[in-house]
Amino acid sequence: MSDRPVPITPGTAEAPTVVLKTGSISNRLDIPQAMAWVQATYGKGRLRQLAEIAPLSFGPGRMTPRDYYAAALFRPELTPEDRRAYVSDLAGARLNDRLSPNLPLSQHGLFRDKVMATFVLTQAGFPTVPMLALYSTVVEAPATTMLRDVGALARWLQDLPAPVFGKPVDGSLGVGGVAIVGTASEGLLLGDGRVVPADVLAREVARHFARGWMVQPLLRLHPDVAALAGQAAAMLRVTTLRLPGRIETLYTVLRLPAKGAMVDSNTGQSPNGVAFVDESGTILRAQDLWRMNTAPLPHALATGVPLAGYRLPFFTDACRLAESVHRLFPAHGILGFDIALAAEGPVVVEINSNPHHQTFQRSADRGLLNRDFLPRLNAAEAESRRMATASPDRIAGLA
Amino acid sequence: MAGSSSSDGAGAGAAPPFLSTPAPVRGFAFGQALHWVRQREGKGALRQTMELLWLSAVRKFQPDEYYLLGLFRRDLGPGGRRAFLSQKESTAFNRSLNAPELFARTSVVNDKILSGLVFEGVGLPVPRLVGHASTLCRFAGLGTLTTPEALVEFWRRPGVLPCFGKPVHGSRAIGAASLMAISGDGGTVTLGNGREVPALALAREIFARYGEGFMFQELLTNERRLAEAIGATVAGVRIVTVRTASGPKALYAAIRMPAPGAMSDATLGGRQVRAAIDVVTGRILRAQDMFRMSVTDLPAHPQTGAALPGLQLPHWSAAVEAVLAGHEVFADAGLLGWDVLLTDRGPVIAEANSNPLHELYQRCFGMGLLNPDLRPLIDAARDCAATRRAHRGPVVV
Repeated sequence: MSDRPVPITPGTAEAPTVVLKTGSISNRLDIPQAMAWVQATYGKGRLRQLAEIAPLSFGPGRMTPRDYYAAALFRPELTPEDRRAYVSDLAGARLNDRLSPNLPLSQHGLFRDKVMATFVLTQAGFPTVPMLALYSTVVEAPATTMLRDVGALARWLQDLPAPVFGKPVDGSLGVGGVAIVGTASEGLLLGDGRVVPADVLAREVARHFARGWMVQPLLRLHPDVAALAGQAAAMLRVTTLRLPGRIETLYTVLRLPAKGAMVDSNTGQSPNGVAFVDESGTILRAQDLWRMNTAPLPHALATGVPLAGYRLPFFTDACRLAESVHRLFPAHGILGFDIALAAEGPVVVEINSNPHHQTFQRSADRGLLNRDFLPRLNAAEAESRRMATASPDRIAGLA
Repeated sequence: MAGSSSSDGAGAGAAPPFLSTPAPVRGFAFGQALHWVRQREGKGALRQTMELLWLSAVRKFQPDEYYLLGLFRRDLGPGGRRAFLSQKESTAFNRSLNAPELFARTSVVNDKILSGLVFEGVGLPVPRLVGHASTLCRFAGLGTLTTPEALVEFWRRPGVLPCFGKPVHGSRAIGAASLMAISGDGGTVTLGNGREVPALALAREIFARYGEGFMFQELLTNERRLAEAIGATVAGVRIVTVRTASGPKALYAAIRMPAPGAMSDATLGGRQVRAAIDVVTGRILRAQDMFRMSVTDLPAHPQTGAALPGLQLPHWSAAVEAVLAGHEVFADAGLLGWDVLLTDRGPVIAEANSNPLHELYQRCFGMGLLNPDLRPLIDAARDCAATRRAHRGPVVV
């Protein structure tokens, strides 16, 4: 038996492609191996582990055995209350649904449509990343260059005006994202150092993302963030809550890209991580997502820079920006903002109405339903219920 | 003065509301209608009752719809009757073209400020937004008024009034009002229907009922010649567009003329007139008094006396072009109902709806939506929606 924690290894991407990641990559964890390791390391028998897992699985947090081991909830220093504070993806999504129920005022559809979301944010006067071009056979983009076929996309890419980032109009988790930093005689120079022919990339886009693939300028991160992120655009996830009459930031997490990656999500090639950032913009704790939460991540995976105590630039501005944008969408009790800490200031890159809370739980080493958050989450949920029943004289959506 | 039970307007909740409220449900004189149909169509009470029960049970028509839509007419025949949609079927029809998995942008359409930002961004004519009140919502480019007192001060600013106010999230003009002027001391506001109401009480009512968002736009009036025919209060032209493989097309158009003394064209009481429009030429084809069954034409406007059939609406081509351009933006939408105002500065898009009521068409045109004239375009829209559904990839959230 190894004395090292059981690694969390990547699964297989959905389809083989040359350039693009076409599906989210779920890491695997060998549960029997983890059980044996916990028994050997902590002296906690299998039955006792199962006795801890069972109530967490059937409780409100709906934790899976994989969640239990990934978050290292077997650690003896954790209390039952600490363990019960954790939520699985499923329980987190259900909580998000309760906080942001599907009302006539809701904008779930807008957040899934990055083209329209970008346009609305721009029109509302918020800093966001402009769209240079859109490849789509379906979606229209106001005031942008439309690329209607593979040839047009390939030609446009070959004549790149500047470094760009391309991504699907309705994807997430870095699926379909690619940084193109320049052109070479053999084709396009990607952010991870590969060179691929423009027509190969264009064909992949057409095959997997025909609905829409948008191209934006490649963000130039603030040097202090680039020092942690390397080539990839690491996003600050700011999760905000709508309470009665006000919007507050609930938590902030910086995504730590893998070494040599183009995106800040799991590429399946090497480990990526997350860092919990406190109210002052200082990294308190970080976590390698390919490892169980038995020890914090000391250094940035992409660059090796020490993480603990690292201060992020424009942090307060980023939180205020997210809160301001959330005010546009009062029907949503919770929103997750991907904010780039660019050289010139914070920029809203995406909004998610169903933010994954694993990033917080893993990085902060703390369950979402902790004693500090729970009263605020409950107040936000009560406000959502009030809004759902308010103003009965409205027959919204029927006119 | 209605609603002015206290001098400072305190306790707005107890006083009658100043903003428009849903019209009370009107009674329908079934006995009288049954008798009239028997006289006119020679259709006995039992036969009418059987038809009504069948349509109610199978097609979910409300009993009054049977009479108001003229479904008793013998000249309709089974095919003509099948072409009509009940309100429930109308919503299902809209959803078949605007299914949530197809139309991710529906929510933007339903938010008047967000959709206004989008329309303005693509260069479509929209009413100028002059103010916004909310306890929560904010806009980067527009100062938001957060208290009733601040709202009254806003109304006192030069150039703000007259304006038209309405909830950001609402429909059928419920909660809407035009604000014409404010007294020198800021104590009273004159509404578009002539009422003088305490300013602070009105502001409090706005925050109490629509604290999540209430917007103020420039007050628009009908184009000069149109105003001569139907009055100055702006009339909304409903143009319904559908998406086909060759792009958006105009399906039908109708105009809603405001009731006398009303501040908007909504179905909020008063004698309402609606009229069918030839979507190609912009001429009124026939008009309908909405307090009567759809078997008698209204030849002239009740107040002005102007002949309605044949009346040419101004800026028609530009209006149709604007809504088709707007539909291009909402590419996922199979069907949209646009409210266009025909003003002296041209057509202005007031809002779009993803679930328009087709009762307007059926009553104005006196025929069902699925009639042979519209059917080819509707089928093309359905084909387009089916194709788009098939091509849509999985949505990863």
